[in-house]
Amino acid sequence: MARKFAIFVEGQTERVFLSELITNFSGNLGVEIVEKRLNGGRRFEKIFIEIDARKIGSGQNIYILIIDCGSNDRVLSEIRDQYESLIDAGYDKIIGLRDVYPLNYNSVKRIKEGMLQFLPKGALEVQIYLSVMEIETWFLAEQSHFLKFNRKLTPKEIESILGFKIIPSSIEKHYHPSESLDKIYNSIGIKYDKSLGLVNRIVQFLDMDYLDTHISLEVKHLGYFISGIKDILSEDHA
Amino acid sequence: MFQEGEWTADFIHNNQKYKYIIGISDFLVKEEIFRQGRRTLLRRGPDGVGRIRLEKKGELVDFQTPTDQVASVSRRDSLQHSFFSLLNDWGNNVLFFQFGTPMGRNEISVIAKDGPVEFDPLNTDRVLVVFREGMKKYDIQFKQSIIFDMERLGYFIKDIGARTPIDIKVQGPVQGELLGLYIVEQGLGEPVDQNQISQGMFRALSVVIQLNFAILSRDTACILIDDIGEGLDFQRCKAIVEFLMEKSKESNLQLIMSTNDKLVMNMVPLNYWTVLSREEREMNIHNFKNSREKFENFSYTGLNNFEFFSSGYIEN
Repeated sequence: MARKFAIFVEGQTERVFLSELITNFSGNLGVEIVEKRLNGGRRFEKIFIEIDARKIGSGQNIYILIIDCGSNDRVLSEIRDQYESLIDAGYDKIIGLRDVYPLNYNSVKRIKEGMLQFLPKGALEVQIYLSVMEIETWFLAEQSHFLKFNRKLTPKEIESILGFKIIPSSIEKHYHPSESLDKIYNSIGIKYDKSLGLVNRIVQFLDMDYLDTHISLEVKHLGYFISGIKDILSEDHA
Repeated sequence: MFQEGEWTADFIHNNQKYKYIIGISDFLVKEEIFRQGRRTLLRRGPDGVGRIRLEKKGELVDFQTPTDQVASVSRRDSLQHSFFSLLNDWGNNVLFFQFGTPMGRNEISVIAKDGPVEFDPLNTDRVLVVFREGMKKYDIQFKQSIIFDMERLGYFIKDIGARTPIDIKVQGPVQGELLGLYIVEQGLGEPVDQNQISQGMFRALSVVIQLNFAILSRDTACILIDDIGEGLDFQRCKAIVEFLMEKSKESNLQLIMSTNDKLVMNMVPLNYWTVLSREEREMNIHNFKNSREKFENFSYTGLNNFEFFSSGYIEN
C-alpha cells in the first residue's frame, strides 16, 4: 500500500520548486504527485483545485499531495484544519514550508517556538520547515542558474548589481531575497513577478543536485528541508 | 452605570496626552482619575471625596460628589472644569453605525417648504438630511469626495442628489417635499432612487456620506461600526474595511469596528485588536496595551489572525 504524505506550502513558487525537487530525488521510486491550490475559505467555502497530477517511475508506492495555501499565514492554519481529515484518509506525515519574511532573521527561533505551540498533536506527525528568509534565498544561493538565463550574469556581475557578494553560508541573513532576485533579472530585462512561466523557468534552470550536494551544506534551512524530503522518499518499502 | 469593572483610556488631543481611569464596584464609583500629562485634573475615591482642578485659580481644591455619580459628567462646567468637555464631547459625538441594518435605506424624508430642518448628525439613519447639510455647507467638494470614495469601494457613480422617489406614493397631504437620495451610475443614464439601490451599495453610500461630512465638519470624529461587512460579498467587504482603515489614517478619524467575521479579522493587524470574551456575567478585554506579550508572541506562530480569536489563545 502506498505511503501518503501531505505537504502544505505558502504559494505557487514553493509548489513548483517542491514538485521539481521531488521529481529530481525520486530516482527509481514510483511516486505519484498531486498538486492542489486552496481557494476560498475566507468568505466562501474552501475548495481545493487540482493543478497537476503525474506519476514518476512505476509501482507508485509513494503518494505526495502538495497544497498551495495561497499565503504565509495559512500554512499552519490549514494543517490544523485538515489534520483530522488527513488521519482519516490514511496519511503518514504532514510537512509544511513557509517563509520567515516579513519578520526578521532574529525571529527564527521565536517562530519555531511559536509554531510548536500550535502544531496539532496526535497520530499523524507534523513537521514544519522554514525557508529563511524566503524561498528566493535558495534561488540566490544557486548562482549557476543565472547563467542559463543570460551568460552575462556571472557571480562578478551579480555582485556588481546587488552591491554585495552572495555567500551561501551567510545568505540566510539577507532580509528580502526576492527583491534582490528582481534586481538581477531586471538587469536582463525580466521582471521577477512570480508568474508561473517565470517560476517554471527558474526551477528548470536550478541545479537540484548541486543544491543537494553543496548548497544545502551551507544554507542551513535548505539542508533541513531537503533532508526532510529525502527522508519521506526513503520510506518506500517496496 | 456598570456593575463592576476598571477602565483606563488614553487620549491625545492637540498633541497633549490625557489619561482617564475609572473603577466601579457594585454600581458605585470607587475610583476616578483624570490627568493631563502629569497634571491631575481630578482624583476621587470610593467615598466620593477627592480633589479637582479649578481652572480660573489654577489649583486643586477639595470636593465631594455622590458615589453613584461619575464626576467627569456631573461636574462638567465650562468655566472651572472645561477639560471635562473633551471627554463628554468625545463620548456624546460618536457616530454609531449598525452595519447589519438598512442604515437609512428605508427612510424617506419630508422636508418642510419653510422653516428649519431638524438636523442631528448623530442619527445615522437620516443620511439624506446629512447629505443635504453637507451640500449646503461644502457644495461640490462634498459631492466629489463622496463620488471619489464610492469609486474606491468599487461603485462607479457620476452623480448623487436628492429628489422625490418616482415609485413611492403617499396617500394624503404631505406638509412639505418628499425626498430621498438618488445616484446616477457611470454607464447608465437614469437616476436610481435609494429604495432601488442594493442594500450593500446603500450601506456603503451611507457610511461614505456621513464619514465625509464628519471629517469636513469636525476636527475629529469617532466612528463605531457594528458588524462591519455584514451582507457584503468578499470583494466589497475587503474594499470597505481597507477603505475605512485608509481613511482613518488619512484624517483625524477614530475608527472602531466590531466583527466576528473571519475575513475582517484577517484583514485588521493584530495590534489594532481588542478581544472581548464573556464568561457568564464577566467580560474580559484583551488588547495590545494590556496583553502585549501575548499579542507579540502570537505573531511568531505563523497562524492567521482569526486563529488568535478562535483558538482561545488569548484567554489561556
